[in-house]
Amino acid sequence: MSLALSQQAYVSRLGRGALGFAALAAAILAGTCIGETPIPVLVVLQTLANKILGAAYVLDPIDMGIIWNYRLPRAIVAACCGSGLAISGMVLQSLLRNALADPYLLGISAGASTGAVAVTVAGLGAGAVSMSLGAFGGAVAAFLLVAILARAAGGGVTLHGTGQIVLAGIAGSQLFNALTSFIITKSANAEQARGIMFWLLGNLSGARWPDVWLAVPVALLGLAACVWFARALDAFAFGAEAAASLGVPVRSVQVVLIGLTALVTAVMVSIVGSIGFVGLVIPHAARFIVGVRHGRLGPATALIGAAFLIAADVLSRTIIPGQVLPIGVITALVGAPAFALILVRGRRAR
Amino acid sequence: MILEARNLCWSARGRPILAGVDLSVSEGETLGLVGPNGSGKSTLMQLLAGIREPSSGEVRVKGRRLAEMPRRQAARMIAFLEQQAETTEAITVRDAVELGRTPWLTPLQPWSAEDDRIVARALADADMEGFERRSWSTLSGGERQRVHLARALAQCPQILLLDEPTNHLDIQHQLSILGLVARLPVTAVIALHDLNQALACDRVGVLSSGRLVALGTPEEVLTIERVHAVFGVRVSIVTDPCDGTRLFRFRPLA
Amino acid sequence: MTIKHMAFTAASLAFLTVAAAAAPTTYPLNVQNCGETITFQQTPATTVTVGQAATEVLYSLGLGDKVTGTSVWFNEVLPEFKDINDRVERLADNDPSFESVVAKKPGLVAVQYVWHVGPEGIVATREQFHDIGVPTYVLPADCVAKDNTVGVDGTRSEMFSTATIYQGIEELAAIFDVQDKGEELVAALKAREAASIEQAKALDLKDASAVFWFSSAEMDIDPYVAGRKGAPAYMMDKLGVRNVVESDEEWPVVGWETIAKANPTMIVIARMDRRRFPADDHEKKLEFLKTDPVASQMEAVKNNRIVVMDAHAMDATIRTISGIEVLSQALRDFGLAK
Repeated sequence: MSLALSQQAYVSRLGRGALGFAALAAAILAGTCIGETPIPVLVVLQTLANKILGAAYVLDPIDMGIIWNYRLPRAIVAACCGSGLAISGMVLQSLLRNALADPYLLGISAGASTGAVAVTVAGLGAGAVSMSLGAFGGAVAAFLLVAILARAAGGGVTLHGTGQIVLAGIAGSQLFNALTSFIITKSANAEQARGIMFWLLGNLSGARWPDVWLAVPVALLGLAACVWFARALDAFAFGAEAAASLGVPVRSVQVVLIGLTALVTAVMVSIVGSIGFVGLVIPHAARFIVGVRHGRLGPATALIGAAFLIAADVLSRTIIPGQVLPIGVITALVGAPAFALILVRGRRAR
Repeated sequence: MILEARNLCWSARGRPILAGVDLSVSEGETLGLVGPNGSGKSTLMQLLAGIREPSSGEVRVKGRRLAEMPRRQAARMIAFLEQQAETTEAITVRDAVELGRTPWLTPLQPWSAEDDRIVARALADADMEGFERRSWSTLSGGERQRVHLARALAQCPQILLLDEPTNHLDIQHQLSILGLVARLPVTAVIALHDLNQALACDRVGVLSSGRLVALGTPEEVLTIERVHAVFGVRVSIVTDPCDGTRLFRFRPLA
Repeated sequence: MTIKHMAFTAASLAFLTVAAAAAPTTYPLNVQNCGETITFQQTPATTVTVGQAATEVLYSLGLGDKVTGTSVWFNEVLPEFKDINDRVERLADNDPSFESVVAKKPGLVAVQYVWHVGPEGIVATREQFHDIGVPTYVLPADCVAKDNTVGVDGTRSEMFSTATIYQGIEELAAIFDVQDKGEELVAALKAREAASIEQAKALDLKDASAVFWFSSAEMDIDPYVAGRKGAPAYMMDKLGVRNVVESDEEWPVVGWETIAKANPTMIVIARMDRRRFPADDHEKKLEFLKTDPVASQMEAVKNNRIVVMDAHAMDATIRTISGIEVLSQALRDFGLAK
């Protein structure tokens, strides 16, 4: 009887996994089919057949190039970023017991902005360093500063230190935002400032296959960590002390998970800039749909985050014909009312 | 000696909260810890559970130093029921109790029917059968306390540390919990406010200003003089005519 | 050009021509400039510039001796003015401070962009200058038919026209009482522009299209391209080339997908000295066009119809006329004649 039960559980888990994967594939396909210019779905499918299955349909090379080299990598990177940011938000919300935590809490987005601005506006690295690399460096630097500050403020990453991390993150963010403003006002002219602003608000347009090879492993790493630590994250429901009494090695779990979160977020921000609301809102939406157990919440958050960002990217390109909006604007415009909706319905449900 | 504390000290920001506590608990016994507010009961419980590190001194479980034990192993032996564990998650009663199985689950030993059985048993013992689907936020204080107890029981511990478990509970449930703990083949250390309930324990420890001033049977320890000195109240001992047990009756000092 | 514009231009030209033919400038001289009336009691003895375009106009008018300070540089000064410029102090490569400008006690501050001295002026507001008796002159190219409070670079209500460049030259010539030089310069520029336009007309182009690529925030990211109302749009319009970009913004961001699908006949890329974005380097732009899997499939790239143009010519400056020449020459070189 027990064997049959666990087999059943295993099969249902496998089934859910397959369904999730199919949903993800569908979202990526949709992101590949819809874009700035209309390309028939048939052409998209034929291109994919050519490239993946080695078929030999005769197609316009520009169309094929657009589908295979622009849209598909961008959709995949959007999926990876969406899931990476959403998962980071989920982990931080669970660990820090704060429903408003998001991946930028640790100062990462502010640091990335400073790094990007330092490279492009102040000319740090003398043109040898790309904006992405600068952003990554800035993100890591900001996170380290926040971590050191949290530790100095009172034990840092320990049972009683979660409040300090939040405050240290706020302080770090403010510092790096101020640095960004300083660099921009001191050295930038209108064009540079505009270039930075566009990047800072999130931009998936430069995503190509090399970015995919970076984004996919990092996103998978984040997802794997979620699945591995699912029970530990569950145990934090009643706080860090309760988790410790349930056998979770709290300090090392906090260090590993927060460190991983910072890494995933820093990489994603360096690839696509600062896209807000995903890490904040998607975990709540996922909780609303699948509940609070992290075994299910992790993959659900990743999937919903991926689909959301693909949709936001498509919207950012199609909502104004012939022009591209920063994706951060779309996520905020959609995310804010969605968040309000979740709050209200959540209260009524209780 | 299943649980020992040797010269346990803990200070916060230079102020000593606990100083030089020596304690040993025998297997199977129920030890009551009493003391006025601020005497360090909760801190001592947390140190014994291993979720707080002492400033000096050590805790030993079955002879092994608790600080050296991996958390998971410690959690399989010790279950700790906090005074106030709250959550804002939309968690169900069943979810909360299932958390108790955390130290026993590994990637290689996932959830099984045995775990289901244990959880059901724990719910029954805590008199929370039928509450499985209820959301945490809909529970009363007493019901939440019983869910925490069920979670602790689901851990199948050898040592149960309960920090004021009878707060928020009505009389019936207070008695049933204490009776349950007495019946279970676990070693229990219970922090209590009610000195009459302490009388039912095998041994009692009295904490005053961070020091363990007495340890022994309730008769030895809870004398009129000691109660007066530590708790600042006058007490008379009365006998219940129906079965001859002794009870305290309290009066203010003045 | 619209009727209104032509009339305005004709009127101002007439006024200034009459004034020049009649006598040197009579002071006090009132000039209507970007919504303000500026009065000159006499010829300004010295001037400080805020904007390379203004600097180069003054040099072209032979007023290099009177320039005591320059600022806001985008690339190297035009080679013919190198010696003159070397003798002039550069206050700042980018935006100068208010004090550094007024410390020179200039008789005039000549400005390229309104936003340097506008209501939220980076340097100072025009009022601040006028309060201490320093007149300011903003090149009309940046304020005629343009609302600088809307949009990042301001929004033009009508397409840019070289008439505003000529207006700027003439007005500055009047202010500095070198109207014969001004007339000469304007006539020469007009002749060059007209010649280029004629040559292009002779080609009788059918459906030639183009896109102007200024730069991109990162190499692979959506580029900044010229909209329908700026100087590049004027160039294309005059030479009979269609702009594939449909936005009215000065430098909108348009995806490579859209540009590739539009498949312009030629691509004009900007060459500049600045190296803030990797794409500033026109070599890198060329490399991108040749190696990007989609861009390399564009007709313009496959047939090597790529024009390299001075970035500053794509702004509304005196260099725009050379930009027109470059583009016109390219049209002939590409053999696009029908």
